[in-house]
Parts: sequence; C-alpha cells; structure tokens
Amino acid sequence: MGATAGSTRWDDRLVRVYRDRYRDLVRLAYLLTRQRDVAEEIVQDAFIASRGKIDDVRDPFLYVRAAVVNRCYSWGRRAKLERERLPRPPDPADLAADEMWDAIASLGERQRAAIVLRFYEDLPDKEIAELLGCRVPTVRTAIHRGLRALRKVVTP
Amino acid sequence: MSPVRRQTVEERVRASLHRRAAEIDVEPPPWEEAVGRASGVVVPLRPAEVDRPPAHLRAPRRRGGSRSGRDGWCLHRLSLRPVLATAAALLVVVAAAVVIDTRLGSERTDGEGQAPLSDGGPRQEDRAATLAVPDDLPSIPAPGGTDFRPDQAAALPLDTARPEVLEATGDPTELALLYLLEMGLDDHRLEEHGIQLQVDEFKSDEPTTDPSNGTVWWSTWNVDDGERLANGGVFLRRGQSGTGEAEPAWEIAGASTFETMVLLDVRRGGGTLRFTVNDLTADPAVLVLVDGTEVHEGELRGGNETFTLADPDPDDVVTIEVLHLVRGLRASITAMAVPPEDELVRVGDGTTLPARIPTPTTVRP
Repeated sequence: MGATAGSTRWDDRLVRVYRDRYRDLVRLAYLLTRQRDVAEEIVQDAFIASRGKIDDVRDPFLYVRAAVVNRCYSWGRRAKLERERLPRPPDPADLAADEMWDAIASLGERQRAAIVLRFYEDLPDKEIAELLGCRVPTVRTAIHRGLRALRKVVTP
Repeated sequence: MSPVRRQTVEERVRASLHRRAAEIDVEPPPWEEAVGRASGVVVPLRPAEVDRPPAHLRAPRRRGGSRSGRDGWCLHRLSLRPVLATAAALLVVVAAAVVIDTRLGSERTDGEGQAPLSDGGPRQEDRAATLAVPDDLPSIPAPGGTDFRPDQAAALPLDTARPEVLEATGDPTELALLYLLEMGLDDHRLEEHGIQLQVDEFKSDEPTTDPSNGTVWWSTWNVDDGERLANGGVFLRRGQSGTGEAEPAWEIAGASTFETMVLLDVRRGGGTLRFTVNDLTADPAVLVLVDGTEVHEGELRGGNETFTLADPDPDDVVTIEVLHLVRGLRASITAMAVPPEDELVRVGDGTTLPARIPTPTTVRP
C-alpha cells in the first residue's frame, strides 16, 4: 500500500519524536541493556518498526518507548542465554563502573527493568506492568525484591 | 554541626541511573538514513544455534499488552513436542513406580497412614513402632481452616540471627516473601520453568493503621497460558515484644494453599503427632515435611492421607509443611507450627489452642 497523505502526516509525528526524544530513548535503552551500541540499534529499530503503526496512537512517544522497552527486555533475556552458552570475561568497562550500577546490573531482567522504569522514568506500577507484560503486584514484588537485593550488596 | 543524612537505597539507585544516563549524549542520525537501513539487526542471536532455550525465553508473557519477539514465540512452539514427550515418559515412569510400590507394600504407611521419618529425621528408632493418638486428643486449628486465628497460632520458627531475616521481621510483606523463598518457592527458578510466582502486598485483617494481624496473598501461574496453579496466603501477626521498647516484630503464623491443599485434623499428644493432608487436585507430587524432614513425597492415596508420627520433639514447636511439586519445583505451600502439648489448652468445641503464643527454640530454616 502506498503512503497516503494521512500516513505521511502521522509519520511526521514520529519523525518529531525521533528528533526530540531520540536521546532520551537511547538513554533508557542503555540503562536497560548497559550497551551503548545496542541501545542505539534498539531505538532505531523501534522507530523503524513503528512506522505506519501509529495512526490511531494518541502519543507516538509512548508507543515507541513501549517498543524500546520490549526490545530491550527481549534482548536482555536472549543476551543472558548467550552469556550462559558462551561464558566470557567481564568487560573492563563494566569493572570500572560504580558500585550501584554494578549492583543494578546483577539483578534479574525483570527486577532491573522494573527498577529502571521506576527510578529513572518515574513510571507508576501500572505503566511498568503494561510495559513489561506482567501484573501490577508482580512489578511491586520485583521492585521490592530488587531493592532488597541492592541493599544487601551495596556499601551502606 | 548538622547531621549528614545518609542516602536511601532508592535515592542512590535514582542518582546512579541518572548519572549513567547523562553519559549518553547522542544525536539521532538523519531520519532518512535511519529508515533506510535494514531492520531486525538488533538481536544478534541466531535461533538455529540455540539448542534448547530455557522456558523463560520460550514463553513470552502475553497478558497485559502486546509483546515483541515473535521468533521467541516460534521457538517455544517448536520445542513443545520434546517437552511433551519427556513429560509423557516421566508420567509412565512415575506410574510404574506407583504400581510397584503398591504391589510390594509400602514401608511408608500402614493402614492407619503411619509414616516413619526418613533418614536423618527424628526418632528413627520408632520406625517400626505402632503409634496411636489418644482418643480424646482434640484437633489444633490449621491455616486455611475457619477456626484458624493467626494471633492464637504458634509462630513458625525463623532464624532471626540472620541479618536478612531479622530485617524482614519489620516488614510483613518482606517477611512473607523471604519465607516463601526459604521454603523453596524461588521465583527465579520457577520462572525458568515457566511458572510465575506473584506475591501481593500485606493486607491487614483489621481496619487500623497499626495492624497486628494480616495476610500476604500469593499465587503461582503458568506463564504459557496464564493458568493458575495455586493460590494462598501467608498469615502474619505481630509477636510479643519482650523488652517493651522495641516494636514487636512480625511473625509467620502459618501458610495455606487454598482450595487444593488442606491440612486438617492436626493432633499432638502422648508422644505422637498426627495430621491429615487432603489434596483436592490429586496431584501426583506432594511433599510433606515435619520439622524440615521429609515424611512423604508423591501422590497421596485417594488424595487424602493421614500421617501418624512419633513426635520429633515433644518439648518444642514442631512444623508441618506440605508443598505441591510442579515440574519438580515447589509451587505452593501449606504450613503451620504445632505447639508442644503442655502449651495447649482445650476449648469447648473440641479444638485446641496454645495456652500462650510459644516462642520457638528450633532455628529454621
């Protein structure tokens, strides 16, 4: 199907989000993946995948952000599998990271995602649950347990 | 000199995340360039190289919104066949074991459901003894029963010498979470096997801002289809503070699995502990522990089995824990502490209540 005037107009909305919020989304993706290159790839991929799909979306930014979080979450779970199959020495850049950053990285995928979305994006439980595809109590549990785990490993 | 306030973990998390995020200062490539590149290059893994992805990778959560990762879903579909074959093979083996067990005559129970304790358990010398509970011994209310009251039940022993346990006693939700975790309902392991553990926030039994009783509800779900495996509650109450200064810590008064696993007719006396487990699902895998020692694992005959044991420690609280095993993992729990006989008082309706809330001396887990 060819591009209509309408879809072009909506794509304009997407382009505006791309120009205005690209950096914010890369930052979020970086916090979720801990890899800058992967974060940029994911964000660009999310924008591409969102083309033509936001006609009835009220806020394109929220749509793309959900796509970014989903891709990061999916990528993280797959990366975990890859790490298990091919154990590699830690990245020296990671070793240089601060204590809390390392501690956050040690959390499970869901706990880390929930923590980032709560304390970086300041999202309420309900939105986090929608983004992660789980229920609100699960989000609360993940954050609760994540913070508890962080308290154990970081220096008071 | 003004005191320096220490940052909370929440504040430190927020600061760390924002500091790290601020390090990323990128400009978007031209839009035309971005849309001109091929999509789908983000995830570098090649599914063909993956032998057997674990369940949590094969089972995208469908509830609560759309998900990406269609190829992960396909992997899940493709791997169903070997999983079913393995399950069928296991079922045959279990059935054969049950048949053999029945024909040879199980050492596990006699007609009365008498059960010797496994190696390492208390009172091994009583294995062959015939145990009997005095006829007039009344039953003790079990969690999940209508007559169970957290404020009158014995507390499940906790090892408060451990810092994380001591810390958790200040927060009923955290204490319940820790208890479930310690009892083997490990959410990470469950999730890897396609089971999701959900724990709600503590809910008070009383309309007050300072409750002394309440429940933390939990449930376990199949990630694949959202089917609920079990649900129940951990019952909590504030303990009795000995110092009069410190706020009484929370204690666990019991746990129950609703509808499917019922612990009833719990009686203790005359050197004997007796109780009945009613498994309404006729689940083939039920684990029964007394003071942490396994007394039964497998199907309950007829879904309803009575255990009569030599009292492992007549002078102390004894714990009874009944767990469902799903895919080899502990997926639900019913548990209670039974106070020593001399700390029980009988009430008019034939049930037995602790004369005082016993302080456990056994340190577990």
